[in-house]
Order: sequence, then C-alpha cells, then structure tokens
Amino acid sequence: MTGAEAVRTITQAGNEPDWLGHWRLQAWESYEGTPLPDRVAHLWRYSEPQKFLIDKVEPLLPDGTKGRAIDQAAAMALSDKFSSEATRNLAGLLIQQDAQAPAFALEDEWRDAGVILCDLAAAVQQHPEIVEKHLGKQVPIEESKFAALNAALFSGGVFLYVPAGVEIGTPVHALYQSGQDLEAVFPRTLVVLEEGASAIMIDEYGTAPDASTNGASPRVIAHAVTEASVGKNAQLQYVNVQNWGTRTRSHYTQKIHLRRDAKAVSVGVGLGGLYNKTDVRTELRGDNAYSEMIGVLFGDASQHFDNHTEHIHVHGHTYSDLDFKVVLENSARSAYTGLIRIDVDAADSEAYQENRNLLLDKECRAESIPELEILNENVRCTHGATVGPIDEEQVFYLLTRGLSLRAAERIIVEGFFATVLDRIDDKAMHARLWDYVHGKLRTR
Amino acid sequence: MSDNGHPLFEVENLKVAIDGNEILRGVDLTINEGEIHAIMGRNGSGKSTMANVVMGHPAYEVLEGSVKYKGKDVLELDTDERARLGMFLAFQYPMSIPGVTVAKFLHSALKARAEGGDVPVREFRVNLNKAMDLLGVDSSFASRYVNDGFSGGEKKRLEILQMFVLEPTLCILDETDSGLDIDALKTVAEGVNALRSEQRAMLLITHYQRVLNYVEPDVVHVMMDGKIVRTGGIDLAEALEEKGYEWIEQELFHDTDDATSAEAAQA
Repeated sequence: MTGAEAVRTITQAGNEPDWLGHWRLQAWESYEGTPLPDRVAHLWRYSEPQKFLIDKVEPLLPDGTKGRAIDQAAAMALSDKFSSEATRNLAGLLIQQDAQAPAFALEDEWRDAGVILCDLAAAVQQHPEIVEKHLGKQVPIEESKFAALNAALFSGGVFLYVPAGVEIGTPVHALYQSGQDLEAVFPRTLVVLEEGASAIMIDEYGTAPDASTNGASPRVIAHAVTEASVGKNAQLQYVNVQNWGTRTRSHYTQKIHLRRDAKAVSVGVGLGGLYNKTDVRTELRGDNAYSEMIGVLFGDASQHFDNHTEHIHVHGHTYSDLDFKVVLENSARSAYTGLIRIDVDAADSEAYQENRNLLLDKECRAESIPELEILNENVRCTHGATVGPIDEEQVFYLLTRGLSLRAAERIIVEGFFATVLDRIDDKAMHARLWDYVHGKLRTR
Repeated sequence: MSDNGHPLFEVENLKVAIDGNEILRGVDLTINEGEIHAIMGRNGSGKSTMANVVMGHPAYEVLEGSVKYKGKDVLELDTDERARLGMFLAFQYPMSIPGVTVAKFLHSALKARAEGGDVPVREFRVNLNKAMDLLGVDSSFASRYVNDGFSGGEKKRLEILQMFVLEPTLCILDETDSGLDIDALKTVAEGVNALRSEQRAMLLITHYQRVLNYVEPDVVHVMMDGKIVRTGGIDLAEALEEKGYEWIEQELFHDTDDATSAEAAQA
C-alpha cells in the first residue's frame, strides 16, 4: 500500500470530513517532498534521520485487520498497574491499544462541566469545530518532515478539551499501547484549555508484547505529536511518559502555546525506546506567561536519547525555568540541546535552564549544549550544565552510615531525580512519576 | 582515666599514606568501653586521616599496622560493614545529598542495619522526633535534603542527630566543634554528653581545647607529624591551651636532643 492509499484508508475508516482528508494528503505530499534533514543542521547533529523512515515497516491502520480489539477488562487491569492509594484518584482515563476505539472514562462531574476526553477520531465526528480550529495549529505540517508524517497518518489519538473556567484538580491519564512487529505508529494528542481552565494530564506511550516475536519486544517506529493550546490565565500540567519497548525507535514533537497569564508545567519522562529523538517547545505568547519544563531521563543498555527543548519568549514579563536531569548506565547515550530565545519585545523576562547528567558506568556518554538567543537586554537569564559520575565522597558518606554500595548509589540516583520530581505539587502526579522511575530502578 | 572497661578500639602501629605520602607514621591508641578520648593537634598533623582511614576511605593506603574494633580486624572489612558493626564517623565536612531528605536518609541507614529486617516508619518517626527535640532541632529538619544548603552549625547538628538515631558503639567526631558559634557548640557537646554510656566509646578529634570545656574526656592525646606524641588527662589539654603546641614541639626537640646525645655517649 502506498502512503497516499494509507491516508485514504484512514480517512475513509474514520469517515473524516473533507478538510481533514485534504490536510492529511497535503501532509503526506509534504513528507514525501521534503528531503531528509541535513545532519549539519543543528537539530540533527546527534541522530540519523534515516532511522525514522517507515519504508520498511507497515503503517498502523484503523481497518480492523491489524489491530487487536480492546478488551475492557484488560484496560481496567492496565489502569490497576498503578494501584497505590495515592494514585487511584483520577479525573479521567483513556486507554488505547493500536488504533482501535479506545476505552475511556471521565468522571461525571467533569463531563457535566463540559470537559471532553475521547480519542481524536471520535472528537472529529462529535466536535468538528473545536478540532478544526486547533488541530495542526501548534504543530503544523511545515514544522518538519516527520511532523508532516504524523499529520498524514495519525490514528486514534487523544483529545482533551476543558472549557473556560473549569479547573480539574486531579489527573487525566491517557495510555497508548501499541506495536506489532515491523509497524509504524502515529499517536497524536491535542489539548485545548480555554480561558481560566486548568488540567493535569499524563500521556504515556508503551509497547504491548507481540505474540509473533516470541517474547522479544516488537520492532516499532513511532512518530508522536502533542500540541496544546493554553488560554488566558489557564494552567496546564502535561506529563509525557515515553515508555516504549526496547526495540522501538521514537520521534516525538511537542508544542505548547501559552497566552497571557497562562501557566504550563511540562514534564518529559524518557525511559524506554531504543533510539529516541524528542523536540519539545513551549512558546510564551502573552504577558506574564509562565513555563516550567522538567525532564527526567533514565537510559540503560544501548539506548540513544536526543532531546531538544525550546523556551521561546515572545512577550514581556514572561518566565521560564527548565530543569532536565539525565541518568545513564551501561552504554546509553544522551545528547541534550536547550534553546532559550528571548525576542526583542520580551523585556523584563526571566529564563533559567539547568541540565545535569549522572553517568553510572564508564561506557555511557552524555553531552549538554545550551543555546541562547537573547534579543532584548533587559532580561535575566542563566544556564548551567554538568556531566559526570556519582561523587565518590557522597558514596563514602553513605557507606559510613551502613548503606551498601548498591543502596548508596540507588539513593543518590533517587535523590537526583527527586530534585526535579519534588517540583510537582500534585500528590497523585508526584506518586505516579515515582512509580515510573522506581520501575526502571528496580531493574538495576 | 577509667580503666574498668574492656578495650573496644585498638590501633597498633598504624602507618598510612595518601598519594604516596606517608601521613600516619605509626599510631598506637586503645580506647576502652565507656571512655571518651580526645586527639588534639594542628592542621595537617594526621588527625582527619586517622578518622577517615579507620572508616575505610578509599583514598588512603594502609602501609602497616592494625585497627581492631571489638577484637576484629576492621581493615579487612568494607566501609559499610564497619558501620553496621557500630562504628560511626561524624564528618568534618559532611556531604550534601540533594533530593534525599534527612528522614529518608536515616530510615535507609537504619534499614541497612536491620539486615533485611523492617524498620516500621511510625516507630522510626517517633524516635526521630524525640532525637530532634533533644537536640533542639526544628521538625522541618526531617524533610530537608541532607546537608543541602545547611549552615555549618546545622550540618554538625545533623551529624549528632545521626548518632542519636543510629546509636553506634564507637563514635569518632572529626572536628565536629570547628566553625561553630558558642550555642551550636553547646548543642553538640550536650548531644555528646547525652550519648555517653558505659558501652559506648568516643573519639573527639579537635583543633581547639574549647570543646573540652563542655565535654570532659578521660584521655587526651596530642598528635604531631602522624604520631601520638603525648597522652595524658584533661590537664594536658589545659596546658596546650595555655602554652600552645610549640611547647610540646620544644619538649620533643629536647627529647630528640637527649636521645641523640645518649646515642653519642654510647658511641
């Protein structure tokens, strides 16, 4: 099947409106017509774009022949994997396997208040005007070759809409589980918060076991996109957990748009995948907009991580703070590049950036490169980066208290992540994030 | 000097080097159960080396000699094994562990000592609060990150707090008194006195006589150039306070002089 045929299949299966079908075809043409990124261009200095091409795999289609029907009981069992008391309290849950119709639930209180939580395919049918207004606006086709690819072929997807003034105090959790062997998947999340709204959302990508690979993790190429529009005085906490299987290559693009007095806390958790590239950007496009970006990355084996973040200050009196913590073991690799751009009109803004890398083994490598474009001098801006092993004096201190070497290293790593995770105010969210980190720490 | 206790800690002819430089040049020291000893000496005399090597700091190389605790040769043991046997070092410069709260840190240390056994959180919290009350430490201490952003006095208080909670049998305090104002010094001293018991022994390593106004040692040693050159009672500390280290240096010089002339006489 050609790409254009795949696009038509998706459009027909979803009974999608013309504008969307056109947009997808246009995206496919753009994908095909755009050359591979130049490795000299700075965003691709650390990763090979060929790794993300899909010509040797089958795109996931919602045609009912490739996907496995979702089982409600299985979905509930998945939600139970976070079973501690602190993490039970959810406003909504959406579980999606492959591109089939997902299982989702939203507390009545929020449904009655006008909150919408469903898959994007359903949203296109039921709320076409909201979707048309926002889809592809933050991450348009022109964003990049691979963003265009997602636009052409996304299926399923997550849609969260919070109307003006509605503040959801507990998290909404979306879990995307996908991947049959030699498949390409295209998750897409669209979050819209109207004026004065607030939401906490956890968006997790994972890979389900595939019977055909005899227990080995399926070979999957994932192209994921999240776009979020945060209205005036609205507040979004968005957590993206990348927990793909050990043979997944993942390319992820995220963009958050903040209006006046809006606030976003964006948390990126990088745990899974074999070869990962992530571009995350928050644009402060209104006075007093506030953004925190928090990164937690824990790599092992021969995992490759290439993370790029951008804080773009367009308006004045805006504030951004980035804290990105990386722990690597075995022969894992991480490259982090972080841009702070302060536009000429963004006077009296503040921007902070810190990236720390802890290397647990001799073979792992990390790079950290801050990038500053400051076009207005009336701002405060700092950045800092460190790369190195665990401090031996810290270890000795803990050993003298009776902790074993293993326990000492573990508590130092936990503490390293705690300095970022403790910034999350919401208790349920905080507990869930620890679940992820502890899950990976246990394997050490 | 109380001499009714059994030897708890015995150092014999300990010679230690760092980066090939010999720092300890034959230290002998025995501390009995229930005793408090002080080692005084100038900076660079080898006091801190002594504290660190006894706990197994990897930077130091033991050239010769033995260190026994409860009759066991501890130089054969890993640092954490020494700690679990009841040896404790209060650091001169305690390390900060960002992201790890004081409560979590102490709970982990207790769990390590319980050898796989459980340390109920509730019971632990009660004990921790009791210890913090005794030391006059604010209850917010427990949820702060270990030594992260602590003042000098807070760091030393935390070292003492750890002694209360972990209840070691041998406490080595490496210049715990240095850099403290008088109130912090008193708190530290009160803590040490409160921990004094018939089973426990303590070794105060200090630069100044000041702390000995508040904690009365059974034995005072003077260390110079990697050796213990004088041993006595509290009067030795007082003499040091009055006359300074030069006085001992001069005496030692004369000793050497005498020895040289004795040798010359024999020849």
